[in-house]
Amino acid sequence: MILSARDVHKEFPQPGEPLRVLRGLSLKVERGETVAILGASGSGKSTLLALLAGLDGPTRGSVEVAGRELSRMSEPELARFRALNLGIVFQQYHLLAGLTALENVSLPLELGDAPEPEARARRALEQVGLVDRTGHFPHELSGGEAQRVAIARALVVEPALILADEPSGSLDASTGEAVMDRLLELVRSNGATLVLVTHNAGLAARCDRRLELVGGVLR
Amino acid sequence: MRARAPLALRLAWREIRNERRFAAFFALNLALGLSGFVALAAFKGSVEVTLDERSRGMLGADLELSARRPFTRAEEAAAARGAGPGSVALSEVLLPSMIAGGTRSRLVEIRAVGPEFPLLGEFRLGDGGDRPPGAAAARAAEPAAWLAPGLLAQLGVEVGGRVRIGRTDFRVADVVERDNGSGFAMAPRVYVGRSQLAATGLLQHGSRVTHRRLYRLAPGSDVERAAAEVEAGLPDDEVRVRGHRDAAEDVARVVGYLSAFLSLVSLVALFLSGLGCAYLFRRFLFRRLREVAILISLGASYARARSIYVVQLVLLGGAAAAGTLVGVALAAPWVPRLLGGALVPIHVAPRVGAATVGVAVGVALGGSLLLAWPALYRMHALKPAALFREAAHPLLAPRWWGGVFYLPAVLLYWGLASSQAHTWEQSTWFALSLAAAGVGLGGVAWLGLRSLERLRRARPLSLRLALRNLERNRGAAAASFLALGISALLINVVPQFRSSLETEVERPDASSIPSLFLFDIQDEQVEPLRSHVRAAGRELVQLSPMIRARLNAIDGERIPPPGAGSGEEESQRDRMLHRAHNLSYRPGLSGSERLVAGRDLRGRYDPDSGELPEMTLDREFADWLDVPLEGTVEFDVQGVPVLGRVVGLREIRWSSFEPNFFVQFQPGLLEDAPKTHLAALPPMDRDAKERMQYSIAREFPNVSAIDVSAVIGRLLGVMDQVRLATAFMAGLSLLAGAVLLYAIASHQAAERRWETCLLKVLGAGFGRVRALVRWEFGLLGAAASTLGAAAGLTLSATLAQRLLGADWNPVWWTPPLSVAGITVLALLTSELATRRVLRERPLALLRHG
Repeated sequence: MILSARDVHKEFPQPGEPLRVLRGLSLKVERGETVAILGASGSGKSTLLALLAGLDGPTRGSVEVAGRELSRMSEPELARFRALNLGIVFQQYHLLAGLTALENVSLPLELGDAPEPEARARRALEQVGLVDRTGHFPHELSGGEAQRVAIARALVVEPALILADEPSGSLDASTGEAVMDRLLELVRSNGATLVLVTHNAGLAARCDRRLELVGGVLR
Repeated sequence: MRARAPLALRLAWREIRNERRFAAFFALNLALGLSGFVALAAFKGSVEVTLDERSRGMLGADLELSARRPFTRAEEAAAARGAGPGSVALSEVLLPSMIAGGTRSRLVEIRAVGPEFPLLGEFRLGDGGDRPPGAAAARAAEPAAWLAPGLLAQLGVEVGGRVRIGRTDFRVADVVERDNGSGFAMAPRVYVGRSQLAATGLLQHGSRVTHRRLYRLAPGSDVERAAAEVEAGLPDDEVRVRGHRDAAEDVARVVGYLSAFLSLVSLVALFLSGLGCAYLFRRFLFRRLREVAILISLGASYARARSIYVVQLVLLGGAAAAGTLVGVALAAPWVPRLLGGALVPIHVAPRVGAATVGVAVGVALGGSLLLAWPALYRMHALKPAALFREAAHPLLAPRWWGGVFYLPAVLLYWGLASSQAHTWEQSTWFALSLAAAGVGLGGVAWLGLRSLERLRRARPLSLRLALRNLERNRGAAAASFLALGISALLINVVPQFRSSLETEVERPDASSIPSLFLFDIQDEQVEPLRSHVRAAGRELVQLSPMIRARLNAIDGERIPPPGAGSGEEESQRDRMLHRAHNLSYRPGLSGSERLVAGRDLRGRYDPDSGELPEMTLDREFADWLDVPLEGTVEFDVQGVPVLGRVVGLREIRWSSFEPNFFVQFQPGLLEDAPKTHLAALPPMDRDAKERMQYSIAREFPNVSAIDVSAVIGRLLGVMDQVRLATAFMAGLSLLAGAVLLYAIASHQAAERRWETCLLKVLGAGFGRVRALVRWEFGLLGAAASTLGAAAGLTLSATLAQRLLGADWNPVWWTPPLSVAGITVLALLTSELATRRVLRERPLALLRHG
């Protein structure tokens, strides 16, 4: 099992009663599996992804990725773990504006002190069909291209787990479709595991498993 | 394989390249703040090196003995033993005197030298010859004098002509163009042979005479050891022994006072630039938070993300330091002119040495990192999880206690002020004054900006929107306000203070300042002098006896031997304790002093009363001595102990130029002590004054007459120099303020692109949008400079009244001019900063978002 979340609660303090977003959520994902998580706006999808990525901690419960409990790691350990074991694709790409496509892709490798960052980043860009855009800056890329760079960045470390947050949410329908095709194809060919957050039922249908986040738990 | 730079360095460098505007503003702002401070550090360093190199020439000897009395044979023998075999000695006498030539006279310093003169150092006569006055005077058939160049014109004589010194006529042998070994002189120097001095009749009891014995040691001698040996052989601490390095230190101390003042003023520019840097970096970092969050989500630790910005700060701080050093090196030839030859006794151009580089780099890097630290520290509160939210932009909410993190930067600043000031009290007062000015101006700005809420119905629309913008961005507006306000304060304070001083000099009729100040009047000359003055229709006023004495004990505790203290403050106190003091006696207070504690003296002293004689002290002098009211002080008057009890403390207005004394005894105690008298002559026109000066010089050659207006004129010259240097520092502050304003204006223009675009879409023309910006920054500049100028006027009035006791006489054109100048600068700066954004077409804005 690559991912295990057990009895996860997440509350946010606010005046009066705290806001309870996750209420005892549990999730298990096997290696190589693709899982879609559906949910309405405000249902807690983003909060769940942040917890799975170790970018936030649960109020109660535990999250294990590749056999390691995230909340037990120190901040520097968690950072290094994230660099080498997790790939994240954001809805809004979140590329670093000052770096070229190649530099953006090689960044997780460099942060994890992995060998040959540049050559591996170039191969990852080849996989997403952007080898001719290596020297381009994010503002010189179209939305679809920027998201493909983000996918290459997520895949370049050959992560155990890829977390994707509405990867086609900022793209038009046909570009979004093409990007998703490429993402799923690469995930499967690399034997990676994908947790995809979306509210697009059609997209979710292409994953191995579909779960819906309602009332702070997965169904 | 090509070696790659560390990731933090590469990312930092990339950010600097991509954020050129921020990088340029940050480095420029820091460099502007640093430049005045570093230039002065370079100057001080060069002065120290130069003094070290030239100290022998400046003293004109290796070793000097000086005393206010002739040396005994035993002392001369002991000094010769300490100086060692092969040393050469020169005896000389220095004293102030009047010199008369033609129909004019003036005060000079007579330097009567032995035939061995000069021992060391450069000495050049007017015709290029180097016939030493000592040897030539010894050979001359008639008395001869060598004059400082300016004296020929002032006295109306030429080389070969005659001047009268005391009772003797001297032939003017030549002018002395250069004498490096002359040290400081209170008046132009006149050189005569020592053997000719006796005939002048100037050497009388109580005359202000300094006897010097200078030694040139044998080559290879250890000067400090010799000085110690000479000192050990001279038990009387009235004889002062100095090596040439000690003499250089005395010069360095004088230079130090000036550079300390200017360094503190330059720290104002550094403060403003620090304010700007902190603001710029905070805005920059908060703009980069999204990217920081991305980095962290990709696997960078918080420490690593922070290290990218630390590296950036190091690079930018280094660039600012390098730019400053290049600027200082290029400006080096002009710095002595700025500091003024009148203020600095040696010509030194600043040299950028290792110490200066260290100061520049240390302050630039330390300052950058400490000013950025609060924002960097807050980075740990960043939540990268916000990246998963729509329209995500991670934010850091401000914390009310966030200001605490600026404490290390404040401490660094205070440390810098302490390193420049002579005492920690000075630096603390400086820092507190600046903080008070900052809090005052900032507080007024803040309250003013809050009150803008009430002007929601202001017209026209551009003004209303501008007020709304100011109110919304109170932090940025208050920072700009502070920078411009403090610049206006600096620009105004010195000229206003100088104007008050100038008025005191230029209106002698309306002033109580005397025209001539007479000293060295012997007991038996008092009545003849009074008659002489009366014959010219004048009255001798404020006749005051003066008795020279040394401190024996304070409150029963003996004065420790000289050199017991270490550090600047203790050394000052040590010098104060061991110098000769002038005592006087009079029945009551003079018009220029007032009692601030205790009571006034009660009539004449009755030796049969069984009580101690009463005395009153100047309050600051009492503070220095650390003697309380009702405490006792014992003086040594010509070997006789005189013990007195302090019954009152006085505050003296020294700027009155009336005879006043730190120590006043009751009459009835010191009348029989050896003494001289001081007196003043009331205000009179220039011709009458010159005639009176000349006639006194003829009839009473040993009596010296100081032209008080000339002294104040010299003070004005010093003030002019200080004004110039301060104006330069104020200019740096203003430039730093303008850079900050530019950064704020361009940043706000960028932030308001959408609003500007919307205004245009809704029908606002370019002119109206530009008017909005003009209102906003014009109001800011006008309000800040008005308040700053008002603060400058208030401060100058306080200084004029407290330091000069003078009426405040402001220069009314300076405040409006500074307000207009700063307002125009604010308008131009904002215009430049926002032009690009304001000219953008609304469609383009909509397209690019």
